[in-house]
Amino acid sequence: MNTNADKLKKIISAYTPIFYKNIKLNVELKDRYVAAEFKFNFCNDICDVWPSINSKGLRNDMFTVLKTGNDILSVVKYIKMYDY
Amino acid sequence: MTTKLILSVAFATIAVIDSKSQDFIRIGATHDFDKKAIIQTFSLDFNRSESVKEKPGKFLKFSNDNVYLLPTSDINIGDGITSSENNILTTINAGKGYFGKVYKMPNDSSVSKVFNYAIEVNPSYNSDKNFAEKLVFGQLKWVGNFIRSKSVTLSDSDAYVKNARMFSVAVFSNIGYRFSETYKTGNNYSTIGLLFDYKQRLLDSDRKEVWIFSLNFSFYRILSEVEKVKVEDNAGMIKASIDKKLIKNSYIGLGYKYGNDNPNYKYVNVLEFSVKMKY
Repeated sequence: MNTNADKLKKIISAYTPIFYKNIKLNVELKDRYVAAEFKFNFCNDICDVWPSINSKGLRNDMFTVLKTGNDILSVVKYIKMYDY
Repeated sequence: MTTKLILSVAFATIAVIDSKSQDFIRIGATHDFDKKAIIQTFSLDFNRSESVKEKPGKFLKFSNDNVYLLPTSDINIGDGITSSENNILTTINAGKGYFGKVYKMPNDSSVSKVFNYAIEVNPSYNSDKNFAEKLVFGQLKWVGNFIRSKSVTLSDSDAYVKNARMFSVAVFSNIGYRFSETYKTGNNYSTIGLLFDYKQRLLDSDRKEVWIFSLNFSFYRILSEVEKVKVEDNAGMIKASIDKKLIKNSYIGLGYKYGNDNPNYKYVNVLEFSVKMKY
């Protein structure tokens, strides 16, 4: 089953040598899995998979408010609730 | 902290691409080659990195099709007109970004690369701190950048970015008007130019920057201007810097600047040694 967590791990894996199944979602992403320079590409990849995410909020908060994979998933889960 | 005392200003030049920004207080000593003197400098840079501007402030708008609006501001208050920039620059970066898909090398999964570009129209205001020279203009810009990172694997679930590089190139044209209080006159102002920027960060396993290299080059041809303000038909600046982490959030840096730029086209030719504290 392709859960949101799996989808996010696959997105992150493009930026790091770690195999997607081993990516930990409770660690800070910036400069660990994703170099800070890739911030907008990373946000773009996330918006491609979940188009109903607020693009502006995501980019303004990425790596500052949204530090870990779980922080991003909490945004995604919230959208899912209203996605019939 | 200090940030609260200061107006929150955001600065970004290549808004879409730049991702690294920090506020810092810089204290240094600058050797001015033209004056043959050493000047102490103290400057406050808000959300400004040495070369390219990066993530400075918050986007006012960023739509699903990557159209964005980012107001930015750069205030440089340095000692001495010729040893550091002295200007107030505010811009609304308005553009559309095209983001490539990140590509991982097939035989080396530790390297990721991407190419992005953006087209911007940026209404801008640039003046010296006395408002004696004021420029109001629109800027049309195409900017592309190439990002590459190399990671180091610590275990099967842990890695860190060891080396991140960003190379940007931009073509721009400014069209507007200059209000010169100095010469009690005004004139159409227009330029066309090129920008190159290279930045490289080397990090340690704690994800702290250990070395930061940056090289920035801008060159433009002045098409129309108030004649008395103009020095030559061309203007430009080269900036190079190296920063090394000392302890915690403090860095020592060595930087070199040569060239002339708005709003006064005064020449700068300086070597600066500085200590920076990030906050």
